[in-house]
Amino acid sequence: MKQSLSLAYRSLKTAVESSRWLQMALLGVTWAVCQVVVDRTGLPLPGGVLGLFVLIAALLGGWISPSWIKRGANSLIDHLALFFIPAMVAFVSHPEFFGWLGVKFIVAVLVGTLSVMVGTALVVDLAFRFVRGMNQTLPVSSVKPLGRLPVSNPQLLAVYVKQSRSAMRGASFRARGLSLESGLE
Amino acid sequence: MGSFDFIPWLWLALTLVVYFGARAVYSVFPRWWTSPMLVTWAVCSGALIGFHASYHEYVRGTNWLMVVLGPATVAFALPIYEQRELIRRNWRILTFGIVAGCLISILSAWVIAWALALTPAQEASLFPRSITMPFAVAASKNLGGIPELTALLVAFSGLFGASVGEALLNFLPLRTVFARGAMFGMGAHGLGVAKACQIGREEGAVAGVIMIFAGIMNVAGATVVMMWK
Repeated sequence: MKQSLSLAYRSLKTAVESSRWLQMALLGVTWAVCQVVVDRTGLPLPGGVLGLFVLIAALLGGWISPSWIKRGANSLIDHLALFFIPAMVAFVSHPEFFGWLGVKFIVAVLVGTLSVMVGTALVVDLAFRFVRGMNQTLPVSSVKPLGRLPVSNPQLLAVYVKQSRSAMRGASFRARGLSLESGLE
Repeated sequence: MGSFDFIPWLWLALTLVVYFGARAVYSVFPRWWTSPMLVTWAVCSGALIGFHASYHEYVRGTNWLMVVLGPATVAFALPIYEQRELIRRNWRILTFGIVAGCLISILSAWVIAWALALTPAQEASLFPRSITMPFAVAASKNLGGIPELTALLVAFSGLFGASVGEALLNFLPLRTVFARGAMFGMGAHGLGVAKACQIGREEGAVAGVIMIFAGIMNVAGATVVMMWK
């Protein structure tokens, strides 16, 4: 009896670890259960976020092994863009976007994204220098600073762009094997 | 027409075929304008407009894709778990970056909405534009925004941020992986994380962690605002 149970457990484990569809189903069940809990208790959280916390707790507590969800989770994250297409296509039923309002939103995206990126990067960089002053060790980027573009000299600029491109390509080979690497949304 | 309505399934088939085709193209020819998200969106929207089809019909075939957003949110537990060492060692600077980034994002949305004279619903849709999609759509709903509009704004922020990020690195005096990672994770979420991974392994990890936690924080903030209203 005990032997057959352990055999059943082991074959289940092998099945889950080898199938990304089973793993996605497992993540789906986690989400569905959490969504029901949120609906019943009126917790002010989306079901997905509760599921995220539950799953982190389960992983950190060692209740489940990362290999049980790894393939499924990476596939879902990899194809995230696909799941937004219906929401993005919805704009065709809003005729007001074709016109002045659309231009306004293009401006909003350009200005907003630039200010968030530049602002966040500068603030974090300043904070890092401040923290390092307090005798902490933090990793410094492996990519050396590129400095200013030699805009005034076109020949030099061409050499510069070529060099930085090949540097980027080299970096992209090194970055393979990371879980969060391809077209999230 | 017969008892079986096959038109919504044609829309689903079109979406899937274009998406996987665009991914194949992108893997050999990666440019910002060959991004599978942009191509699929443009082709599907163009087809809907061209055939004078209704969005209602489109969404009847494709709504299960949006349902998968829930499990996809849960899936973010894995990268957080895998980066737990990085988070534990550097939680101070990461928290600082996330809080600073969210404040800048909210403040800039507020200023832009005022400058462009947007309505409250449009303004609420603009607030979560800098966070990753599943969280952004949830936050937009809570704030009284238009989720479809937020989806578009998020998508284009990501596209623009990821394509302009490399150029920004040339002009900004950023020495640390944290500043570079925070820039991509906060400003350009998913596509930005992919870009940051190309620049460096640590940059990618930092960007991913910041993206996810910024999303969680924004949803939490939006929920508080909703309960307060």
